[in-house]
Amino acid sequence: MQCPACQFENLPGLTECARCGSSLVLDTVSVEPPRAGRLHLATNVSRVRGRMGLAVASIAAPISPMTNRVLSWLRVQIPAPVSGRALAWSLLPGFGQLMCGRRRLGQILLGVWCLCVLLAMIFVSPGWSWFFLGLAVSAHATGILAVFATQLVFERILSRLLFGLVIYVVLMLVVYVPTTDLLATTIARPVQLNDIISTPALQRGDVILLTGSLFHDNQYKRGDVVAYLIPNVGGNGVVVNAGLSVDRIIGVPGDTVVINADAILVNGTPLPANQLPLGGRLYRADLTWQLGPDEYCILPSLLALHINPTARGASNMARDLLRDVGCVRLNEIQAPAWIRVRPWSRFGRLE
Amino acid sequence: MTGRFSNLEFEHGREQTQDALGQQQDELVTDFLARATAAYHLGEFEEALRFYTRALKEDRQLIPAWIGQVQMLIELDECHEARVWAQRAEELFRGHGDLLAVQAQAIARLNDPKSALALSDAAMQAAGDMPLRWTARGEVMLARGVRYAAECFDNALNHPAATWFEGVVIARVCQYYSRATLALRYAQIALREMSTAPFAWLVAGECEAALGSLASARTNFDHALELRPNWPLAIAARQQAEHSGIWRRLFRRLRLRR
Repeated sequence: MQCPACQFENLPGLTECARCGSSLVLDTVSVEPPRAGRLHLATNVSRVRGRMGLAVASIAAPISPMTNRVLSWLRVQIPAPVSGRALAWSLLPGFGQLMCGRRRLGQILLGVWCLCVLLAMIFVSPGWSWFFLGLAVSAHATGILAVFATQLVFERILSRLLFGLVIYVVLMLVVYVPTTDLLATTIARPVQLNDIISTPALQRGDVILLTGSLFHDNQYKRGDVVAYLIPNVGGNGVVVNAGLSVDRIIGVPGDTVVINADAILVNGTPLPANQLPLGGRLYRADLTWQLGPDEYCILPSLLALHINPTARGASNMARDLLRDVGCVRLNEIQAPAWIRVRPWSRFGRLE
Repeated sequence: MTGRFSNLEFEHGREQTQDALGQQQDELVTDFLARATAAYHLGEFEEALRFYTRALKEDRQLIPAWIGQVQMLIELDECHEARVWAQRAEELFRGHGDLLAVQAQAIARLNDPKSALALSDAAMQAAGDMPLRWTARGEVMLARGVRYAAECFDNALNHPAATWFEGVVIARVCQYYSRATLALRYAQIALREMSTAPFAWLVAGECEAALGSLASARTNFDHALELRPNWPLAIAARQQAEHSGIWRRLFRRLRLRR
């Protein structure tokens, strides 16, 4: 059986040519060609598609050599590979460039980083600080990426983005988060007070700085304003939500604190006005604390104690609760409250 | 008893019958092919397509008929279908140069000159050498907008297997890509070889009309009508040339300047 395409003489019984693969059994093949409709839709659509492809190619044609030219130029301009020295210096923002001859870029990166850190300190609050800190990390990451510019410039955009992201995350997790935590523990920590009753001393939304461990020695005296933890306690008609509260210490270990309808007496002496709780004298129930070692008396005057006066035994419950809450152990005191930083109009020391 | 002998083979008689049938089939195929070619030479593409199909029904291995079908589909501006049909034919006859060439033509007309060039390359590398491949090559060059199209067309014309109709085919290709000057050149070459072909006169007239030489175009259409009276295509073309206003002529000239 001869192949009609290549004239090769095949063995009888074969359905395809052994040389060219053409079909040898054509009896069942349809010979009626497909026909177009009146509008020649498929042809026109294919033409439009082809024309669009040509248009895209004509746009891309001049861009492609231009890109190649730029890449070649960059190859000549940045011939040096990554140096270990630059990489080591780049752990300090901008120093990788400053120490390796690219002073202008280094200065810019260092300036941006310093500005961001400064702004983070000026706008000190949990939200804004992290925002500016994030920008500072970006500037730092850019400095490190610039060290790898020689390698990265020839990579695909996705690879470059991924590499940048990895650098950013590693910097954030390995350098900045631990450093920030260390600074917060040792120097100062901003806290925003959202769940308090507004008083002349502190208002809802204020941001205060708590002193770090470097500046206090866990020895508190009467009249100090401190941040302390309160437990989640409650009962019939009275609820106290757990959290951080700020108030003044009115009694120190060994003191006897008595509250009655007329005054707050510490060791039998009425408490002076500058040592009263920040929210004023709210509680007038008959209560007595005999403070043991490591026990301080702090009346939660800024807390919204939800007392339901109609509940049976509410006043008794409130008194019992106040007795519990008012006695604070040393390990529950976080730090002395230092200054009020926001709003700026009320910036000042908390006394 | 007769049933027992009904399956006996009488070789001599069967061979004679088969020969006669084969001869009859060959004659039919030759006749259909000739009629298809004649219709093509007259510009009757639908009719030519029908005859190519009938020839294929007789002999499915007739590659010129497959090629003819694809060419007719292209001439009828059914390029998408032409591409599909050419691919199908190429699956049956793998690597056949002429089938690859017509496939390249169909794809070039679908604005995909890159693929068309690849197919044309394959066609040129395939065994054998036919003028159709050079024509397709020239068309691909025109579609890509590069030079050397005329050289390819000249190669097709100078090929030993080329007939007078090759010039008309090339002129039609050039017409499709709005290269009227080049088209006229090849139409005139065809006319020099076969001045009694009405379709060649018609194509030459269309080229003249496209170039704005309406008087020459009318003369050409008249020649076509002399050779084939009452030919609707020529009558329509002549009427169009007569009613062609100055703006349309100017527009054509401007369009041809690119």
